Amino acid sequence: MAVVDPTVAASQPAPATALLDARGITKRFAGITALHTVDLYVEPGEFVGLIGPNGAGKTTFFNCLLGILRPEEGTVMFAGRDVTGLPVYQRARMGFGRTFQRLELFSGMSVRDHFIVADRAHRDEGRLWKDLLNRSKPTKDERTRADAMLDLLRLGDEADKPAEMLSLGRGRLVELGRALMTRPTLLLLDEPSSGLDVRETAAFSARLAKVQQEHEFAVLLVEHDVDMVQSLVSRLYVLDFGTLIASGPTEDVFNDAAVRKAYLGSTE
Amino acid sequence: MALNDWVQYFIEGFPVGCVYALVAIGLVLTYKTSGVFNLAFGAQAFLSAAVMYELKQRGWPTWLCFVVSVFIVAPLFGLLLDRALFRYMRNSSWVVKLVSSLGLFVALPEIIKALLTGVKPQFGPPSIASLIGMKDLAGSDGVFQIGDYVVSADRMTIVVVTLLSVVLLGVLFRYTALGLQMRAIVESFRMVELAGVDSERVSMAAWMLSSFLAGLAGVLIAPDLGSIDSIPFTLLLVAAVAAAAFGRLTSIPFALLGAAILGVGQRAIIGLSYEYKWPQNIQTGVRPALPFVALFLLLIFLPAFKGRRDVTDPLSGVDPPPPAMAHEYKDRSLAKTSRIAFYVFIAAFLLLVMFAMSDVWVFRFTDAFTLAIAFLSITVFTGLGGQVSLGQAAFAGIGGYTTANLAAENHWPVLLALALGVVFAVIVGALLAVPGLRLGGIFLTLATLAFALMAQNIVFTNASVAGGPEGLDVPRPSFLNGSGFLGPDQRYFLFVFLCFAVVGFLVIFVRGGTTGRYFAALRGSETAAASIGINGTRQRILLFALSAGIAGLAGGLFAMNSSRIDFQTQEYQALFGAAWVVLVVSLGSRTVDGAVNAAISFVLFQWLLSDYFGMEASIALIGFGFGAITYARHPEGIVEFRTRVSILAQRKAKLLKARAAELAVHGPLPRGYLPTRNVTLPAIAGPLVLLLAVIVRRIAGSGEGAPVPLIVICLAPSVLFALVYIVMTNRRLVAMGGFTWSWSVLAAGGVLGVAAGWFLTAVNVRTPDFGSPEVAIDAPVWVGIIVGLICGFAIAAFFMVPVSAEAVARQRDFRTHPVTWRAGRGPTLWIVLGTFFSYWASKGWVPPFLWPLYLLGLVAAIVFVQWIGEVQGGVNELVMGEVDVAPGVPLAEDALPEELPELAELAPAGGGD
Repeated sequence: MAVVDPTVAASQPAPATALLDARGITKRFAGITALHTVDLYVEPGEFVGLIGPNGAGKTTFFNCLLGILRPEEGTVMFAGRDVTGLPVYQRARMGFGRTFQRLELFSGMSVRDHFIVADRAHRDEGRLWKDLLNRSKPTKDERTRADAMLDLLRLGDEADKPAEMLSLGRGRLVELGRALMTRPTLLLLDEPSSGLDVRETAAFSARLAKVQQEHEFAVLLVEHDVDMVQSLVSRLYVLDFGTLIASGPTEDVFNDAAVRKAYLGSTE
Repeated sequence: MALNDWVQYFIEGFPVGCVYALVAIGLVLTYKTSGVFNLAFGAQAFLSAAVMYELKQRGWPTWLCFVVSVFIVAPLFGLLLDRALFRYMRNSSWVVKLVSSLGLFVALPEIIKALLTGVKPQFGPPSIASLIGMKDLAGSDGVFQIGDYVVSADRMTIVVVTLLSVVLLGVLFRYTALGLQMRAIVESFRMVELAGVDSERVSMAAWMLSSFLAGLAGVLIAPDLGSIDSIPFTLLLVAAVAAAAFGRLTSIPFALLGAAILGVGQRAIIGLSYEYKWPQNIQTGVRPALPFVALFLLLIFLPAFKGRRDVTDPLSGVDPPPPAMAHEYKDRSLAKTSRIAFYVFIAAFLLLVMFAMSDVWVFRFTDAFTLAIAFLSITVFTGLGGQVSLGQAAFAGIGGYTTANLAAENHWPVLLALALGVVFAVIVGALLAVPGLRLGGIFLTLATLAFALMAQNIVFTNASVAGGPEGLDVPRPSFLNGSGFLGPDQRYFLFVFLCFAVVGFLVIFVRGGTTGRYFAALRGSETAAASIGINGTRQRILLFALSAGIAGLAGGLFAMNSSRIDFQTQEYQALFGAAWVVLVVSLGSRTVDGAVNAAISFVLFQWLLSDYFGMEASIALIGFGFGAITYARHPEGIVEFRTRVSILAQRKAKLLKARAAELAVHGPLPRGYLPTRNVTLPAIAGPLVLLLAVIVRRIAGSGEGAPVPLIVICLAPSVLFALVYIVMTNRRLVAMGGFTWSWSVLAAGGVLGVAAGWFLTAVNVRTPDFGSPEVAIDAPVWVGIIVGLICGFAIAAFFMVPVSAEAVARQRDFRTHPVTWRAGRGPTLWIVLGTFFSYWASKGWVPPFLWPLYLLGLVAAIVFVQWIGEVQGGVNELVMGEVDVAPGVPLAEDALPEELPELAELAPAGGGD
């Protein structure tokens, strides 16, 4: 349905240095093709956006990248390895970090514990025998790292509150911090602005930009909020009806007529 | 295998399948409309069958019995369940619903037995075949002749009634507004209400209808079962669940088909087993076990259940968050005090058991701590893992039979046998985890129930496993025998206690360690846990293995406790395991003290009812079952809830004390302020002194209970103090603006108490035990009047004083109400229990050593002291001003702090790079 504009190539070949390289991802649900040969790459330290109208297949694509869904066709390469068949948790250990569109916090757990658990899962040093000998209480190092993350995200006041008592905006920051504690090389953000007001979105973007500068990980951002995308992202992909209709530097893509028509719904 | 055999199987099996279908449809109906997987469904069938039987026994005409039991009692009971119980749980999580229905599953059959049928099975249940003319249609010998085959009139009735019901139900669902609303309500109760449907009415209708189906099924199957006994009816549920699973818990036609296959399959298996001469225990075991096997396989292999979680309500976000765990509120000095108190308590308890208690009581506490270990396996599975398993008894059985076989048959050292039992349970647990991986929530629970029933019916009945009818002898570790410092029973108790302590600490370590944190993460969100690199599969296997191992250890110890086990050993029976879960979750599944409390109350209540009151021990299950219903209000468990209340009261006291110290510098304190400790200590002192005196007397060699003068001397000052406290507090509250009529309430309580005391001691009544008229309590009338006055006055005050305090707090617009009338329930319960006790104890059947009375008395005193603490804390807050005692509770406006503008400026700068 959407016309592919030849000026903004829908799929450029990934450079050899690409951190994430997804090729020809196709996913069908009971006969409906949710994704049709989608190509996407992210270079190390790069801030990439993925936008599209509701139902375009953004979240499905996300889930295919992470291994929550298995694509029918296509491969996902990460840091030079084919991860297409790996389960979610192994990808996470390789350097995928993510946040969720609908908050997925560990209810009943305090904010600090969120960070400690993520840190420990990343280091994978926990063993049952250590637990049985009572040797796996949070160490000083772990507390320091968790406190550093609390400071970075300015969550210090909420450190000991159970996660479900936080507001949505704070909850998103906790998810960000939890993902960052696993030292990801690629952070996937699933509509972080949904449910936040303008101020909260601005606060979130600000902190994200700051943290990204410090830690230098790559980000793949799925987002609706055009301002947020424009302010953060250097390269952009546009998905419509499961097909990539545009990609390239953010400004070019936003100036593209097909994109304006399909996504922004205006030609102003 | 000839075709006509199969026709035979079909004709004999199909009617049974029809009954399964009726129950299955009812099950699907309530599950879809209320989200409650009603495990008590079989028990509801039992109810109607029992009512029908009883009425028939009283000579009522059959049609009237049928109408009353199926068309009146059954729907009314469904209505009762909905109105009194499940309507409050509409928006609760699946665990709350499951536990409540599990409570009914455990309690309901016992209630029915207690009220209607008695404990023994009743034979010859009435049939309704003649009612619908089946008897007339049938041949002269009461059977239908179809070709070469015969069908009894009863079975023909089942088939006709079922098919008729199914058609009517189909019409109801497809063509009526009610049917449509029932189908819609499953998604979100609140959503349907927003669409303008009176969902209360729909839900009521669904419950009445489903209960009616259960009742119908019960009355239909009773003649076929041949007796009215709770267990076959209860297990009807499993067959029905299997049938419903066939229809993926949604499709009624497929449920019908599944039910038919099950019914015919059960009959066919008998035929096949005879034809191929299967071993005896398979022949007898497989038929009843077929539904369990079928359910297990269906759950595991049907793709419909893969990764299935229960329906999540799109509007669930509007629920308030649950309260934090008690230890979140605890500050450091308090934690230190309670730790010291804990060790003192443990030491005192051990000394008591070692030196003061009779052998019987040592044995009971041995049993209690073994049970506590079994309960810890539930603490792990449910408290840490967030899943509910009904298979813990089977794991205990695996541990127990392994230990027994190795030790008794092969003469291994018993400790080594015990260790291998644990290992074997761990292996089975881990193996069970693999198929269980794909299941979540209620479906995992059902699979574990099916597993436990399979183990019990197929494996444990095996002579080579459980040693046949004679059972197996299990020795105790040899180093515990022989003479020495303590008796062998005492030493064995120490051994069990040590096992418990080790397991208890391990559970605490695991909870605080990596594994516990991973469990907590997975409990919170499996997707998010995977996204930070937690291997959910591995953790799930670990969870199963850990909890199975603990249960296996408990099973081995059970075997040693009783020195002989057989295939009927109670502790290894699936339904018994279900009762465990109910008890543990209602008392507290997150903490070790929850498990200990559950175990001690289990043993204590069983003893109370069976030895003390001469009732059936299973009656205790009623109490436990109803305990589960409190779970809806306090999912954290009663022990945890009480702990939190008492911690909050202590914190409040501490904060107010600090404020008082501040105020004292500037001038006199407000009238009415009293540090709570000044009030609680005098109240507890008397009972403590009494307990101490009793212990001293016992160690000095006295086998008697304490003499009356000692009891009076110790308790009277405390009681007097408490009465004065109540009067003073009420006066103060009235002065502050509380209800002036509260005096009348207290006076009325006193008058009623006097009347009751006089009645029980002076008026001849017929007591159940003795039959002849005599006074209920054999004590002087003046004692009855005084005790009645005190009790009545106190009970009235327990409820009135908190209400009055709350009224004052409302006038002053406090956000946190200091105390509520509910504070009065605890002390009242113990007063009533105590009165009941003295009634029985005074019947000339006083045991030589009244241990439990003192223990219960002490608990009563502690509960009363908690009450005083709460009330005085509330009063102090009223005179000193409100304090905020709960950290971590957010204010109403959780606005972002003032740092925001600065960040908003940062945003474009960050993006510009």
